[in-house]
Amino acid sequence: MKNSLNLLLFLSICVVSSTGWGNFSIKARYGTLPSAGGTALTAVQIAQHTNLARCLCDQWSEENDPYSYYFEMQYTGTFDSSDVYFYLGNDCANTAVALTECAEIGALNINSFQDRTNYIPIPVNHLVDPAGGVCRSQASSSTYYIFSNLENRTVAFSQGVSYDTKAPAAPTGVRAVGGEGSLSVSWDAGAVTEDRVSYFNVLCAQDGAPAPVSSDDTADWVDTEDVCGKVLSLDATEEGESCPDGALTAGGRAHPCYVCASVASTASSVRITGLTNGVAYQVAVVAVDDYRNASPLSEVVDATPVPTTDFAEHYRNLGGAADGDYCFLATTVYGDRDHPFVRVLRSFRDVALLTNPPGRAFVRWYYRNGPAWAAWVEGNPLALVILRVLMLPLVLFAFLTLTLPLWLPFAWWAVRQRRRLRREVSHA
Amino acid sequence: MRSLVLAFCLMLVATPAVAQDHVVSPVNWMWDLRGGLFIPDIDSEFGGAATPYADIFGTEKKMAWRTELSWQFYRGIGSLGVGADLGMFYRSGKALLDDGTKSGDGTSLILVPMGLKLVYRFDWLQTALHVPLTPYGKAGLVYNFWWITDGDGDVATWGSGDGGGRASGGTYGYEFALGLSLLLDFFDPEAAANLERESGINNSYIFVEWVYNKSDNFGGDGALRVGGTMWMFGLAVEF
Repeated sequence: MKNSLNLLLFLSICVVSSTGWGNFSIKARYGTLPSAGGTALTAVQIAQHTNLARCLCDQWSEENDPYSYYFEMQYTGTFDSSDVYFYLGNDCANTAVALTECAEIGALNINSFQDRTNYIPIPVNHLVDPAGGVCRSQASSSTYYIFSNLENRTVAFSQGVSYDTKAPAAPTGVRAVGGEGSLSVSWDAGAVTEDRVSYFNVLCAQDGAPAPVSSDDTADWVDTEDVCGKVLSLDATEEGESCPDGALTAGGRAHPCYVCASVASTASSVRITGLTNGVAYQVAVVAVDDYRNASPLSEVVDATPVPTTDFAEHYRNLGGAADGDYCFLATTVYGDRDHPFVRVLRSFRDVALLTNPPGRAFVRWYYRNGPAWAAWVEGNPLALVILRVLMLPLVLFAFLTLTLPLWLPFAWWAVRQRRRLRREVSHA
Repeated sequence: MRSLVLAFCLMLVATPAVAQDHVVSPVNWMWDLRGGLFIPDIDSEFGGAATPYADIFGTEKKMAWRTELSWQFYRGIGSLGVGADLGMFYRSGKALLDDGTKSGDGTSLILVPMGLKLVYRFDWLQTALHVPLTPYGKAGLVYNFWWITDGDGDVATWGSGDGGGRASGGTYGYEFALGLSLLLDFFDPEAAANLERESGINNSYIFVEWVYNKSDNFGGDGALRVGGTMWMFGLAVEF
């Protein structure tokens, strides 16, 4: 977030020349041309825009405008028939630097700004590599120039733009332990903190294919398929399959269709649920940075969910008698085991009935017959309504009995106060 | 060493000058916060034949917390009050695999004890002799809400044999405690007097108490025995 804010500030500063020209200014930034349905980008979106996926898409299709994003530029000042020239690069205003070291974006006549806005493309591949337009793994900034005179490199406007196409390092120390229909996956989070990691995504495979719990909706990184509708190789020279089998390979490229969990960078473990006991799964982790670049895949580990026994089951398996709750008829009548009235009746059973022989006998009798009554009541809506009303006094009685120690002292105090007041009134 | 002990004893019986000078506002309430290491008596239900609690949570004691508010309705030779307290105990462990070893799944037991007690504080030593030590005793009824969670963090179920009933409920019982509190005002009477003027807090204490909690629905069947004994330490204020 901090980086995104920095970028926003960086973008908001317009540098205006003092060569007799008017002012160029950036009004907004667009993901695609407004005429193509583009919308103004937020600072976070700009940060995500200048990542590896955008760079690869730009490299793949140099000629295809929609892959770039745009500065919406306006000009106020003197209009004439002279041209302005748009360049991307570093130190391009220095006449000692060959212009071939910078990327030529294009040229426009200044009159083209009269009464209209121009949308100037910002190809990320030329931000990263002005001369070659090749995507490299690095995080830095480049400068966007408008020259009013190309020969003298007279700068009418310049604007710095940050980018980050560097993927974080792959997480290390990945472990997976089987649980009840689940896997507990952990990793050494500290190893990637210096890469501004904002998320960890866990990827799950079953027999080499994405596990049933995997979904690309869960992935936090931006891939080329999101940006330009193509699954591109890391050098943007060829297209790949959208969700290939057998893609979970250590050091390989992450495919979002395998993602089964996402956690913030502060976490170093997650529990994957919804799995099947006895089925082997393959698990790997990727780190995702602020710019939504995904790291290479971590080592891939195998794990199998297994049946486990939690404390409640273990206690009961060993013969523990506590039942805590179960109230057939009341649960049916009030529709929920945790309904406050059911809880009151359950507590009444535990305290007032199960603590004496007659009460225990009643509970045994009720447990023999309760399920049958509950089944009958469930099928008779009228009986359900009548019982809801008829059971209210029973619930109230149970509540007052249970809370006797709480309200009795206050009742006693209130009675004493009332007597004292009466005495005072009679004396008066 | 003997001179140090003598000095401490003299300090205890000495009368702080400032404490006698300022006007004392009425004292009716006491609030405390205390904690102590605790292990519930759940395994006692099995008479040594099984130890489900120890199997999963171990035998190490864990911190239990309590807070109590009491109203002193009698002040004479000591004070007598009625107090309500609320507590919290959380213990987590790993669910077991079929071979009895620990799995990756977590499971936990949460206890929320609530109590209503009579509290007698023999503060005559403090009020009459200016000795800053007050022994006290408490006795009352407790109700312990409890629930067990499974690997998903949800309330666990007992198993299919119980119709999938949820592993939550409550256990009634009784509790008494014996303790000794040390009046902190004694060490800085001036600050104590300022505190009373500004906030109405008359006295502040640190204390230690031994607690005996018998929570088993008074010997009834079907109770999760969540009582136990523990030493608790805490801070209390009278106002």
